[in-house]
Amino acid sequence: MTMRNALVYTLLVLSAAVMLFPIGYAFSISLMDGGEVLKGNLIPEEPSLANYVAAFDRIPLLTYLVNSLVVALLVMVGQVVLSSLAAFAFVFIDFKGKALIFMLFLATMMVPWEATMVPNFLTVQSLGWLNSVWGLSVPFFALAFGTFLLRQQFKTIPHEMYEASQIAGISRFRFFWNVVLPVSKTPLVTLSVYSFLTTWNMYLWPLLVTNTEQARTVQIGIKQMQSNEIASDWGVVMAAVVMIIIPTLLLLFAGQKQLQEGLTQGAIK
Amino acid sequence: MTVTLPRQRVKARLSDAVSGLLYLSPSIALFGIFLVYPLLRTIYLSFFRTDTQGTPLEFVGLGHYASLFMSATFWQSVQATVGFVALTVPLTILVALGLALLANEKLRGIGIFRTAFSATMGMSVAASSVIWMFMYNPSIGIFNRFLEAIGASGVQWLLDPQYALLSVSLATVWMNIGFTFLILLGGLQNIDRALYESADIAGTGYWTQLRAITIPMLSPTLFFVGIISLINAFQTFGQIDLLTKGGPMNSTNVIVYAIYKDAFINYNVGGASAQAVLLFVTVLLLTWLQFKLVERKVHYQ
Amino acid sequence: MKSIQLQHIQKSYGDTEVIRGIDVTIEAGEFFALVGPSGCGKSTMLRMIAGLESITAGTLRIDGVAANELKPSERQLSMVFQNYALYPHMSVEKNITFGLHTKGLTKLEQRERCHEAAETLGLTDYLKRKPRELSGGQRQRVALARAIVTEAPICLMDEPLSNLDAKLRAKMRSEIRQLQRKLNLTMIYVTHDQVEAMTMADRMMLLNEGEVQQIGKPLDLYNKPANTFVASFIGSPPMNLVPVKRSEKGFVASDGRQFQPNVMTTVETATLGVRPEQILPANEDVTFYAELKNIEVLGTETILAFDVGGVEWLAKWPGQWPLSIGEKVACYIDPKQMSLFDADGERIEPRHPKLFEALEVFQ
Repeated sequence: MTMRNALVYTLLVLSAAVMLFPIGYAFSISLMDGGEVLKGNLIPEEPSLANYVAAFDRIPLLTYLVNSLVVALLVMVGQVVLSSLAAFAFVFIDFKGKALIFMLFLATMMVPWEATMVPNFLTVQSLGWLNSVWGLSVPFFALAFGTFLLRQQFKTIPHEMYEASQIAGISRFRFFWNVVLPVSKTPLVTLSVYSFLTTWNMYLWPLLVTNTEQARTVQIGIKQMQSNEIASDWGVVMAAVVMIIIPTLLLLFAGQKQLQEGLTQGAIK
Repeated sequence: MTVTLPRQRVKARLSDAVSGLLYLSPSIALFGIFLVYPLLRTIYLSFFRTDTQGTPLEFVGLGHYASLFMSATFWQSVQATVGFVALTVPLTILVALGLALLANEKLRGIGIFRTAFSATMGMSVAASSVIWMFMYNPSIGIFNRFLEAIGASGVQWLLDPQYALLSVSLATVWMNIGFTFLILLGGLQNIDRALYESADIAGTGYWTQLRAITIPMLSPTLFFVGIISLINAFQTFGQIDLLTKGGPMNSTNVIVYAIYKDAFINYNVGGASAQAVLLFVTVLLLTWLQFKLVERKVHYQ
Repeated sequence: MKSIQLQHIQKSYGDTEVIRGIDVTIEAGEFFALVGPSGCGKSTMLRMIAGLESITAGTLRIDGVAANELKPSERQLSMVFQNYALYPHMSVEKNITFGLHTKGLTKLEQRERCHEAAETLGLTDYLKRKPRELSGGQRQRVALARAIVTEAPICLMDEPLSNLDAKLRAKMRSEIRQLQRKLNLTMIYVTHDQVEAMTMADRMMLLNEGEVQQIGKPLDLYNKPANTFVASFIGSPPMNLVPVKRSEKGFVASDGRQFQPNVMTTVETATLGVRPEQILPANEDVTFYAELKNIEVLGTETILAFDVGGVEWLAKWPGQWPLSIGEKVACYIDPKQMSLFDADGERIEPRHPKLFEALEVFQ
């Protein structure tokens, strides 16, 4: 190994240790009992899963997890469907005003979502969607970023393929369904992973539109623990934290490559 | 030369327009209901005194804006927001860039490190905040234990107005590194290896290559990451709500948190709307400004 | 079999005219090549016939019926694209049959037709493969199979061979031609390669900057180019040209070389053109002496380069000529083989053809 490689490895290991420390620390704490936490141990002396049992026992963690899963899947499907339909129109259909509409789509990315939350809350309330998965998901179905990402991908599909299908008499929707979507698997996966992650991790909106145990998502569940006597029981809190980060971490590790490629493409081209 | 279109041609165009709009309509409808309408409504409400349900009662013109500009709390929240942005955005990009450069080396087992560096992208703000809250705990948290171990006295990380914003910012940098890293790494990998090979043949060193090839070629990605990070920083909410609730002494009361408190705790919907409008305008201006300033210097391939 | 009529077809994008009024009839069963340099409008022309581009003005008739407003799928044609436009995620079989359902064929009929087409093109063993698992030549065949499987009477091809290497291209040229004859297709074939057009087409049309330069049989364009553009585009190496002025005996180039083309005309200045293979080693009559600038011995022929009136000319002599650079060689050109173009570059006909024939008989 050259000196240079040794140096790079040292830096890599150090950075990884710093970056992963909080996660590992949380995991470690989740295996300790209260006394050990207070002693300030880094590694549990007698690791136990008691905190996990307690977490499921003392807070409706399972309900939260199911709610989050349903909402994240709904938003994922909604965003993928709406974004791909819109991107298809932007790439394969010519009509007047297309450029303008596309500019408006892009402009929506500049609207901080928080600036619109008050009327949105009122809208959802008047729709009777408080404490429902619809209120948590539908407002996020339209996604300019997703449309943009898929548009970049669809543009790389040779236009001749579309023309060949026109000559063969294949309908537009069939071309979309049988050609465009299958050849765009990577960006569709990227967008799905991205959608799922961001929705699963959403905080402010679920905080506003849910106020019952039955409707809450995991992120709000965590907040609830704070205002609860469990808050001082750090082992249980960390067990809950570990439970809610595992799905997203797994998803991230599985989809990391697609995510990186897809997001970079969307960023640059 | 103007050509009068035959009738069928007009029909064909019309059907293109119709089907184009058909494909776009779900997105347009939802943008209309959950983005355009609430944005306009927010602007509208910012000129009214409202009841707790956000029903406008009395037109007050620029009254809310005027009282905002007179209010010390508002300026505190402006200060907190600006401080927060200044502390998090450059640091996040710098650290993520360093990690991306390291992780872009062609070495055995590099995949493990890439995964490690992007891990925080899978971490929710809420989960991360809870972990950091524990680490900041004055009696049993790792930071104070470390300080005590080296003989220094502990710090009230989240309760001391001097440190609170810094502490929240540090946690935020950690949370945002994963995403930023992932995008920058992708940008680095898109740079043509041949550029480095020809530089190697010319005998230039690592730092020269970094300055002369990597940074210029990466500039579109850096530009993108810069805009996204800036916008995200202005929208920060979760970590504030969990770690400090805007305190101590409003030192971490960033604008979105202030809007939230005014609208949903104090039921001052008009005032909250005025702040939301200011947030919107700020983000718009900054995005536009960044485009104008950076675009000229960005090197597009 | 279907004929195609273009009646004063025009195309413009905004104020830019890319096709300036084209009139031609392509007969049923004809192999018609559209040739020209890149950007001449030949692909646009083809895409208008296909219905992929709108026609700005003029009428397109397919078998006598106005087709301007028909959808591509209603024009009874198939098309082969330069990049083949194969669907990368579908097997060869699926690529060939995709779209046949719109013709109301059952699954079984689709399979039958597919196998028939695959057999014609030697693809039977590859039906289950994906396009990326095929060589360039095989992909090309899939594209052809996709075109013939529809049994459309008209086939359009847009530079279908340009992605193949030279050897394969020569092979596919004759295969496509045979296929067209066998299936009795009306073929419109776009290419920038004049060799393809010359070897394959019944008739060809040469386009430049959206305007027709000449329409005719390949040999007509070769032997009687309508203008200097056709002269310099068709033939490899192209026709030698040089500006000349009228002199007592005929025409003279700026370096004093005399030419006496067999053309009766009163023009004062003109451009003289001679095909490289018409410049021969002189036996008795010498048209001019040439000082060799370069020489390429190619086995079956020898290419000589020299200056005439400040322009580099090439001569193609059959056989191997061991000459050296700087040598002076005597050349002969049959006056009947000289072409003359007027100041606008238009060909000046030797004599009135009828009159010419009469004179021949008279002699």
